[in-house]
Amino acid sequence: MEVLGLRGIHKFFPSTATQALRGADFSLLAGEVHALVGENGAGKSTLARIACGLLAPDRGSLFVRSAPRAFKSHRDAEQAGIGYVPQYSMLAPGLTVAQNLSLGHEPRRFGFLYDGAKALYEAAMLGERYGFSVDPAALVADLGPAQRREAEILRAMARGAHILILDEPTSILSEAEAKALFALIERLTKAGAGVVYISHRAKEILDIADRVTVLREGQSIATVAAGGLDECALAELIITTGSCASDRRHETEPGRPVLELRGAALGGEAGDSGMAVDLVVRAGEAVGVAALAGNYLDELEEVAVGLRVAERGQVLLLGKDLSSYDPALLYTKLLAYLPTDREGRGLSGRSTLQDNLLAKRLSSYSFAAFALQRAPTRDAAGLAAVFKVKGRLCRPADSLSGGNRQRMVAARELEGNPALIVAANPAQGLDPGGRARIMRRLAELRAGGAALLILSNDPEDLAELADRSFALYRGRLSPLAPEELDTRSLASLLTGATQ
Amino acid sequence: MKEPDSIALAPAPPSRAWEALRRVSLSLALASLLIGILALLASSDPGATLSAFFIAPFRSRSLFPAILENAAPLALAALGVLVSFRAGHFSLGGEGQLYFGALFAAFAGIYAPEGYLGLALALAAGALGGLLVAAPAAAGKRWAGADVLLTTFLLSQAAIFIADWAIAGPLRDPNNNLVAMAAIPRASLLPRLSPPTILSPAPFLALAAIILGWFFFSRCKRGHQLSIYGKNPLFARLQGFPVRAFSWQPVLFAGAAHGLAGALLSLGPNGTAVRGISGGIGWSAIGVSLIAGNEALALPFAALLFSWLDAGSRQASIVSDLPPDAALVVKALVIMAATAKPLIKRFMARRAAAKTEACA
Amino acid sequence: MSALQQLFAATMGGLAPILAAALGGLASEYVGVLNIALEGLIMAGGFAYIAVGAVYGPFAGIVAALLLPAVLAYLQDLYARKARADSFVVGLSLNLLVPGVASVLSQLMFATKGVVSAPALASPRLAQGMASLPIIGPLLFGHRLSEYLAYALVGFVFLVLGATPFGLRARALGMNPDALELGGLRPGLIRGWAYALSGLACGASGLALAAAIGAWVPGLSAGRGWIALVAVYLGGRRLFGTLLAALLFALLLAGANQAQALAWLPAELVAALPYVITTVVVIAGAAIKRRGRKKHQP
Repeated sequence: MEVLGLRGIHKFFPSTATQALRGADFSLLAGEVHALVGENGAGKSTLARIACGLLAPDRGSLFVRSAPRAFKSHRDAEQAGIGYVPQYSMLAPGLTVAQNLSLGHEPRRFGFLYDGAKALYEAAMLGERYGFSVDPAALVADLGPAQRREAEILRAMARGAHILILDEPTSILSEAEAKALFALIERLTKAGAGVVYISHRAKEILDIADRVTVLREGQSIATVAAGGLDECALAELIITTGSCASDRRHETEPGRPVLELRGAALGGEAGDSGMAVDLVVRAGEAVGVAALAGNYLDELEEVAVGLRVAERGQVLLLGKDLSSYDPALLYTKLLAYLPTDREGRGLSGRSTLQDNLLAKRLSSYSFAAFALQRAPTRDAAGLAAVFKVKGRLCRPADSLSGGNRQRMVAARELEGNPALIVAANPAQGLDPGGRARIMRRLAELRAGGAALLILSNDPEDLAELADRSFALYRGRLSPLAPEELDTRSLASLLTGATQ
Repeated sequence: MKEPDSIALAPAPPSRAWEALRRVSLSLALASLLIGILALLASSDPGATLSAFFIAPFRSRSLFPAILENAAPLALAALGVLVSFRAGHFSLGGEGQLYFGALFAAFAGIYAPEGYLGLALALAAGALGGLLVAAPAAAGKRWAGADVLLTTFLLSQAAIFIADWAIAGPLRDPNNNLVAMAAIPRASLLPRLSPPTILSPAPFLALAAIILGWFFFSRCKRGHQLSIYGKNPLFARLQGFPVRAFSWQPVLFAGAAHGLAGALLSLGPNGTAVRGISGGIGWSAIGVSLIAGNEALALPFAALLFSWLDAGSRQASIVSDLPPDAALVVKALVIMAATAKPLIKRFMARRAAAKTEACA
Repeated sequence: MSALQQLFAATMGGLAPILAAALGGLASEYVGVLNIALEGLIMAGGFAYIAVGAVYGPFAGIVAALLLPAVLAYLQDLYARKARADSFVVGLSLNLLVPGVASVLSQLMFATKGVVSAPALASPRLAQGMASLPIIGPLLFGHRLSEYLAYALVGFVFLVLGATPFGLRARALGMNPDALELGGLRPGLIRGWAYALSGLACGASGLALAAAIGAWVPGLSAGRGWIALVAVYLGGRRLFGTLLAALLFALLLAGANQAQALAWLPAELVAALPYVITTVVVIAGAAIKRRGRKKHQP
């Protein structure tokens, strides 16, 4: 019997100008674990948030036990028996676990006072019922990631949910903690509950899921029984496997080391030596690192561009400590950076397109040339033309679409002759034409002697450009020999399928 | 991914300065409407009240120059607010900085040699006074990252008490009925341009400063960098801008601008520093900058609007029974309206002139 | 009465309006939006007490003094949310608006441009006989009815923020609005009520100030709204911290008043002291915080 159904769901986010969902379908049966998989940005979390009443869909319909429903808030979804465990913490950090669990359903004394003792008791009972060890009286801010996740799961179960939606629940859990979670899921499904399980990890999915639905660019492209899959087949379903690029070899011999990470600790749990990374990128070569979310790729990106100081180890640029450089020299001459967090780091949304395009070369204008504004306007128009940025120079960058924002960032960063290029998800939001343009320019700069570090969720970026590639899984780099660089083994590495 | 292709179809927007001017004229219209309502509701003689606002300033030979003159410190202080707002710093310390500026300027004016040298020294001392009040906040931001919204305000309050003490205590002129310092020598005051009126070069000084401010933000590299920093400091850092300096210099500049505005008060019609001389100008200046949409070229008009409201209500309180504080009501409502985004957007969107491509 | 007894009495009298306003500030700080309009709301309370009280009697005055600022604060927040205006700017303009409206209304109702005197509205002192008891006497007795009322309101706000489901929700909203959404609650509504509570507390503060002198004077609040905001910060944005900070300020101000008798220490300089101390505390706090972060972010 279908307990939860989503049909033809559309959702557009104006703030980032992205169409997250375009007609997605999903169906959950009683007693099954149904995995929802797809690349980053495929729309999994958006679909989950719509299913539990946190977002309203633009179009499409939602059914609970075959009855059409329209949730106004999560409370409606809760009453329909839907519990949600979000990917990122939705707990109030300064409150205790018990207080968090009671929000919106607070036990009362005399009708108006908050009954903290009762909330504590209820939370303790709930924890006992599900065999969780989290202390209900502890402040959420003091909890480790696993306990926090337990608190989130308890909150989802507190109102007796029989449909549970888990958004990447194991991304921050250890193996043992994950095992405990799977045991809980099994118990729930035996009791007739349905579980929606969002994850990247092939092994986990095969362990617990009954069926798998694959989302790609906001559409459901397949729903298959998990029994018929092996890890590699699943990995290929998750990751778009395009045709391999024609030209990824190149002639120049790698030169001297440009970026060196020597035992650089990316952070994470203290004392975990596995998080220390050794990586050298030489002039004229492209090194790719691929990872899925939650595997310290963001931290690697920040360390490589000097936004984060490695807790241990060294980060050298051209043989000198990266943090010793003058920021003006580093960011305008030596380093080109295409960030993952484009809106936060790659542009100033309320500044004009012209200001955004010229930010890097402002200091090259003479006082008079800048005051007259003719040269800057001409240069900005020229830069915009190189990458075909569609938009008006005097409008805020916010008014551009996602793809045009990425072109704008590329136009600014990929001019000149940087020694090091850190390109994180360089093709995000781009159509094939824009993607090809950026890839061509990156290859040109590499041929001209730049060192190129590509960080991507998308193995295709690596396959096209990288001379050497690594997979980053839970903070560890695994090197890939050139002949290993076919999408199948790469995908397996990324999802931990061979671990 | 398919991208919406709406940008090319949208008409080119009016420039920022143009938009800001439009906002000021909307504010003027709203203010006039509010005055009309106030005159009808709160005055026993609406005719006299209305004429005090709408006719007297343009008939009296002294009133319009006074409006100009009083707009000068307001505009200068608002320029300080604008610079700090553009840099993303919410400086609330204007009132105390102004007061200290007035105090310092009076002190220098009294003790420096008479004449233009004294005037110049007094103006410089005023700027220094405001700067001193802002300095701990700037230092706190630079070395500790302390939010200037709080620190500038706290320091300003302390400065107000200290200046109150200085003017009523050690620096007080015992021969004066007002709680005030000794009179600054006539020759060290701002010269009067057309003697029966109080008009001095101050409005021209303020205008020049504002034009420089406009030039800085629209035509200077540093100004563009500072604006970008104010909107996204992390992005500014990744572009190699001098973000360290940007974190404290605008705070100091705002202090100096307020101090200079305070000096204009002492060296203008007051003739010296009087207790409570800042009289809410620091707060009004924030309103002026907001109404001008933080756009330098619109500042003079916004300052004139506020100065006109002050003069009109002062005049109305003489000829009718409308209290002078009625100006506060109008100012407050105009500021509130000017910050409502959908409201402004609807008015702005009506007529999008499709012309200019330059980004000035 | 000894000087110490007097200091105690003055501190308790001065604490009522500061503490009430500080809890008002805390109510808004709990939901994560600093209410910068405390000063204006205090004045609204004080003026409402005198204006309504003079016409309809003290009881009506008290009701108006509490309700008007609460409604005003709620509308202020509603406007900020619905018009998507900066709540900070809206608060600043409210601080300008209230004295202006009070001035216009006092002209209309009482035909005066400044002070509205209503001696009948001065609140009586209660249990003055017991005020001479050592220590607890000046602390507990001999204060004005309006001050006891303000303390009652303080108790009420304290209870609401500290011990009710609403207080819990408000705190959660300030920490992570998502936590409320998963509780099926509407953040906007809770924010609005917190603002109303903030206005109510400020009303009690204004009531205490106006009833102490039996008059409305322009600038009645005399910076207490700002001191209250500072107390919230100095108190670490917590209930008991705010209470302690407000007590410290009341003591300093009472001391400043008594020190006026001392020729060598000008009262204005004593009055400046709380602000200087708080500046140092704010900057030092930021410095400590930054050092804690520095390990990761240069």
